[in-house]
Amino acid sequence: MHISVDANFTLKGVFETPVQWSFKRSGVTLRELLREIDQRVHSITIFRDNDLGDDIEEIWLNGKRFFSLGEKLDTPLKDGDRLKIALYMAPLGGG
Amino acid sequence: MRNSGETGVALTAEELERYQRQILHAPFGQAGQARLKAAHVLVAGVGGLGSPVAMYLCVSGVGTLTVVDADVVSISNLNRQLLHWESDIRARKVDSARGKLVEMNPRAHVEAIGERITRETVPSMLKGVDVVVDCLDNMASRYILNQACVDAGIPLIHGGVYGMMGQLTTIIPGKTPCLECIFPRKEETDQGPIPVFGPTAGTIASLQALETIKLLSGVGKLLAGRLLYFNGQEMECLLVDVQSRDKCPICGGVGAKEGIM
Repeated sequence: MHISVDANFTLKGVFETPVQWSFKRSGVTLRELLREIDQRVHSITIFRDNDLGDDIEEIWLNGKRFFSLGEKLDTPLKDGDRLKIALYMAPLGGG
Repeated sequence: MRNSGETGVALTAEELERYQRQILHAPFGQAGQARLKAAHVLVAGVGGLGSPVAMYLCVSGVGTLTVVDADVVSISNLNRQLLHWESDIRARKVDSARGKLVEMNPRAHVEAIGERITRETVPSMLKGVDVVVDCLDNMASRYILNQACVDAGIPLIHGGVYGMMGQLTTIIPGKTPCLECIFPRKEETDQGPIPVFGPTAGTIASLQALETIKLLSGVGKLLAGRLLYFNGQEMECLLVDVQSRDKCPICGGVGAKEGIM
């Protein structure tokens, strides 16, 4: 099963979008995909405590915003789904 | 004396030798050097970020530097604020900075303004300035500076640090998202001193200085519309595409698109 993942950020050599995310099995949920992405990118909290991480401004699954997904993180994914991630950046105040 | 390009600014034989290693970079060349000499850069804050920014721009041959800071040097500054030494404790930071900068490059014209950046003071500070480098230590002053730069159409090179993390972006009024688009204003609570390692500030400051040199000389691709986030603890560098906010109260959301992707 292949999911297309796009984002408004890149991490050279680690997470360069758009990327095809592949799973050998079916029945993968949005939660599992986000957890895998989270484990790859250390600087960003994508997933936390069964919810989106603080660093995420919005995600879209096939153009639908997260809040409109009835099953939220338990939404099952299917081959060819498209996920988009928009990062929220908190300012670093020091100088 | 060599007249170098469209600025009409001449480079002396001494300057050609002094800046030889950067003039050797073909895309920059004598024309780029002449543009630096003709430029006026304001460095807002001469602390952890502002010290290396001012040092690099000064020794690079920027013709006029204005350094702005209302603080005095304290001992807790000395782990990262390279322009200030133990003998400068209790001196005004702008005086401490100006003294060192003039010694580093006696040809540079360095102006020192020991005032806070407020809505009232900032317009006069920006007169004649080509680029502003944001090396401030709080968001409230940054928002004031951002609005003034947007109003005056002056590019702003933003940098910020926390611990081993840092970020920077280049804001071009009318072309890129402004600081309030990227970081919408929130009530700021005084969190007291924040952690900062000197090398983190030095890393971000060096990149801010490089962006300034690129912007002034017209060489290379700027971080315009992109934010570089450096996580020194994990050694990760994220590049984030930043978008204008629709109806941004400061810049009006130039180029804002529906949604944020």
